[in-house]
Amino acid sequence: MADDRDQWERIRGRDASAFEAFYRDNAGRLCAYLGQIVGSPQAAEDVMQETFTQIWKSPNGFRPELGSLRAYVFGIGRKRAAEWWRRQSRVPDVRGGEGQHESAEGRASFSAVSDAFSRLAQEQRSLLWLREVEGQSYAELAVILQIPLGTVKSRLFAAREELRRIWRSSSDAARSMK
Amino acid sequence: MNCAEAAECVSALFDGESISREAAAHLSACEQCRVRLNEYAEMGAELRRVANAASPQGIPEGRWRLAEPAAATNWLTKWRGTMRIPRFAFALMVLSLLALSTGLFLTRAKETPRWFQYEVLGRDGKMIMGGTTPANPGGNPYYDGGAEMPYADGTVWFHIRMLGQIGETEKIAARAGWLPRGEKWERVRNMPEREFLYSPGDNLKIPVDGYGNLEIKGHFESTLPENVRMGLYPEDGKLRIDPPVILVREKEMLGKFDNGGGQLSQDKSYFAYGEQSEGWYVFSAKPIAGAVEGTLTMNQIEFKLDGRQYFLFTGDPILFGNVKIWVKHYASIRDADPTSAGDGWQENIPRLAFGELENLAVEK
Repeated sequence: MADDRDQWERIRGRDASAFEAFYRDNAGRLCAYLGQIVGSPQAAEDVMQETFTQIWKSPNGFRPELGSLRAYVFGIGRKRAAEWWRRQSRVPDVRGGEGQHESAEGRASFSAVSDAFSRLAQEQRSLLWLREVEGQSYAELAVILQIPLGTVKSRLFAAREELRRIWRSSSDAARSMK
Repeated sequence: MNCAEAAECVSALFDGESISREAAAHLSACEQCRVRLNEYAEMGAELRRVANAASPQGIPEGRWRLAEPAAATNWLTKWRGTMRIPRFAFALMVLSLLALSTGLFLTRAKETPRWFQYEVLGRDGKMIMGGTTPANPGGNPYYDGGAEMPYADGTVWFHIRMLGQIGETEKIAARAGWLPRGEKWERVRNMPEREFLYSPGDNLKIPVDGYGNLEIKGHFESTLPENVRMGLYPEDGKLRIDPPVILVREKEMLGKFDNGGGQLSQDKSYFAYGEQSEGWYVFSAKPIAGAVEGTLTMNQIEFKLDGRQYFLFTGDPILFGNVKIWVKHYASIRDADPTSAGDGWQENIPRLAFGELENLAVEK
């Protein structure tokens, strides 16, 4: 956390090399996460770029006592993704909708779990990605998603159960077709 | 507790969160909950595998570099969204303000910042140096600035140069380092250059490991600032050394110092010009034991040492008029002043040093 504070101070001090390092450390992972929300890789990169540009232009709001710098940038990324969806003038959270299928395209791997994951509601995908892939703590998830700690716990459970349900039902369907 | 009640605890347990004793007791004995836990683990592992496979091959170039840090916000947009007072009243207020300040706006609209005037402050908030450069100096090293500021526990060193104006900011490159007393200069001199964008009105902090922050404060000017234009001569009681500083012996130019400079007290301070091959020439407007007496006239110091004639020329007048000046040669500036930052030579580039007469060893 001390490193985060130091890095943030440098960013606030307009230290371009510090920001470049910050960007290098987080851009790829943020882009992958945003891909789960906005669907297409190109849109994810656009939102990722907007996120870093926003922080560079106006480095405000990071509070080390609430979580890591990475959690902070993911939180901003998530908000920018929500704005992106609003700009698209369509509802992102339709199971099996356009966004989800786009997100499944282009992946290097296809599996029953990833297929089930792509069918989850966007909020659930976002939450599970942050927890399982990014390893964010409950406290950081609460900051990123702006929900109470207890809600993180219950939503994670609900997301896992939904993923498990879809996964199992698709596995059962596959078995019955053989 | 049954499985339905314990299910949420399986998720929490999987995440390493603490759960109740009752839930733990159930989970340890329940096969169905164990299966759920295993499936969570399997799903998590599969998601991470997919994420790794799908991760971008390379990180795209950051577009943030193209953005100008903007202190100003779009107040009109915010006004539309958050207005809480009657809008016609606010509109009248804006119109009144516009009417009052139209002249100012018209004048300022024609102005183009050409100069950047700044100060560098130490960790104690005291000014170490100040300068005025073109907002776009085009890489001319004449406008680079640098200083060494000695403290009781070491010396902070920095070198800054203005890279150019970007929007409403000035891009600044800085190298800075902290040299604890007794350490060698090489590490500090080789500090990498860092780039910053400075927005006038802010305090730009340049972190220096072991020292704290140097701070830069500055502003743009569309015309050459008055203190530069009218400041051909230093204040009474001060000497000012501005580059280029050129030392000539007989008809040979020994060296030329191009960046930095400083102002010092005529009664209490000295300045010194040094080169690795020549050593240091310490100059004082007060007598120094063992020094030769010379003359200082405007921007020229003339003295004779070991039977040879020397001249030191500076870019601006050192003072108005002429005074006597004392000059003494030292092999090392630390021989003269143990508190001095030292002889951190870099490719035999000439250097300047400033210090207090009371610290000169010969005075004691």
